[in-house]
Amino acid sequence: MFAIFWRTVRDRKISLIIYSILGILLLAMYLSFFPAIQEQAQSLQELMKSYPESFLKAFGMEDMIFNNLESYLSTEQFSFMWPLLMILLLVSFSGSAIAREIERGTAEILLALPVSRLKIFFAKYFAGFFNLIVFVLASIPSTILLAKLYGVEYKSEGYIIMSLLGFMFALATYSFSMLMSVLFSEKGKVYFASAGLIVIMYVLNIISSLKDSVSDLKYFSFFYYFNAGDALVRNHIDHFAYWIFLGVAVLSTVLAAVWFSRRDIAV
Amino acid sequence: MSELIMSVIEVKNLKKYFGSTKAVDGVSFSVEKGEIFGFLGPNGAGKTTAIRCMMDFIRPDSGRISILGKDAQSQSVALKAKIGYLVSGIYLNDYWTGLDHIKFVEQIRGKSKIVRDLVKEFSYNPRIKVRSLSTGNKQKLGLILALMNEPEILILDEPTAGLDPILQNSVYRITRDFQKKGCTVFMSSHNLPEVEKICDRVAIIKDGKMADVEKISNLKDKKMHNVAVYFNGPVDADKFKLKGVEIVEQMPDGVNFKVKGDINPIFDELAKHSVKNVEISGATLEEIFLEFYQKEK
Repeated sequence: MFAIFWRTVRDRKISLIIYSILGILLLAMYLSFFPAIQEQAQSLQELMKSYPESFLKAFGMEDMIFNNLESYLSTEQFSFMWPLLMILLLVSFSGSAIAREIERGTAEILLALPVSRLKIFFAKYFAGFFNLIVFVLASIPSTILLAKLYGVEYKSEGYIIMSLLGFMFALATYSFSMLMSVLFSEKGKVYFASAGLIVIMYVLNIISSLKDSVSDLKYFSFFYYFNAGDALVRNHIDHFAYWIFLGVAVLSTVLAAVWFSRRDIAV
Repeated sequence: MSELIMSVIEVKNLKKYFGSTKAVDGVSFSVEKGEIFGFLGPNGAGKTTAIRCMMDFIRPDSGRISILGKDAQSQSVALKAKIGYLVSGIYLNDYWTGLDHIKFVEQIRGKSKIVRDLVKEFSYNPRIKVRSLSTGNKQKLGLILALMNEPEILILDEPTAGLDPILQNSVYRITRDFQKKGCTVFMSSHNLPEVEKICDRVAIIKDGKMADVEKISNLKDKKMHNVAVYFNGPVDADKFKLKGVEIVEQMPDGVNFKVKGDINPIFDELAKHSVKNVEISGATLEEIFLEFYQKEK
């Protein structure tokens, strides 16, 4: 099992390194802008008041305080760019982990070995989990080091909470995507199904903020539970977020493992 | 039960349907220890589907597959430790080298004692990435991976596809060497001469159904040739109405014959005539099926 795990990690190391560096570079970019933003904080704050409340809420900017690093990063980096990088990294990993192996026929090399399908699945799953952990650690707690480097004030506790929230969001997204990878035999379908669902959830979250009559739709969106501002600024994660993210992760993983053990695998 | 133990591979009434397509429809055969067993059929006959069921890649709709007395589905992990498998149209990881593949398999199956010999035998360079390899070299790597851990059973799906005649002969020789060591070989092919050359017995499959299980000596009687003869002058075609000879077409200067079984009688008759040219080709597997199996049924 370890051989499959390690080989998968090695095969995907370039994309992991690229996405992790991108996450750090984005952080560095936002941090380099921050002193200038701080200087203009008052006028920017005034400008924000001219925006409709529902619009600010839809894009997670309702509590934005421009002279606070955590508030600034929660909006600029962690509400959109970080999830985007995370989703691209993990959906592409899961598409290649199972579906591409089936599509290209290389799954037969694995299946011909004296290793159970469950072990093959979990070797692949944990390789992705390893990617997830490395990416989360590289792209969230690294803010502390970068903030020190730029001489910007920060509150370290928020980044630990943010890492936990980011980890859970990533785990749910990744596990769901792995389920898609097991269900389909083509990586294109995995990308389409996973990315499609995530885009739908993002749109649901925005629509639910804009119109009171459909506000309950937010409960069907990961982006509602992934409240970066709450985690970074107030060091708080909604209890419901734990249940939703972990529930989706566990359910998707169990279903994927069972289905992979039972399904026909042929090119 | 004793029958199951004596046969290394026992397939009984195997059925696998994909929707309305009956890929394998009631296939049964058994393979004895130490024999080279051919699984012959044209493309799309159901050979690969049956093999995938044997390897537990896909699950049969009904029927039973037993290998070394163990159920091929419920005990597939234990069985795969004893099976060397070559996939048809060998699918490999493009960005790995041959050595990466070999090391990966060794990490799971254990260190190979013969991999160096096999690499040498096949004149294969394992340091080149798979994406740069020709079809023949990919096939060589697939064979090395299947053989390197000296399995008790070899399941080879079209083992000589993409190989030149010299390498094909290497494969036949290596396969026989494995047989001499007590290995049982199950190989699929759509190439009748290949099966004749190497196998002890053959199962013939067509449209998902078993046509026959034959000893190779019996199969040789079912050989068929297309013979086109061009004469220097007019000829009475009726003189060629011999046993096993069928006149397919009469041309102004020649005749097309279909010859079943022994080809010598037609040559004896041809010797009595002035012949300008003779073209002989072995019948395709499709033609043999039509002649010997479809008609019989």
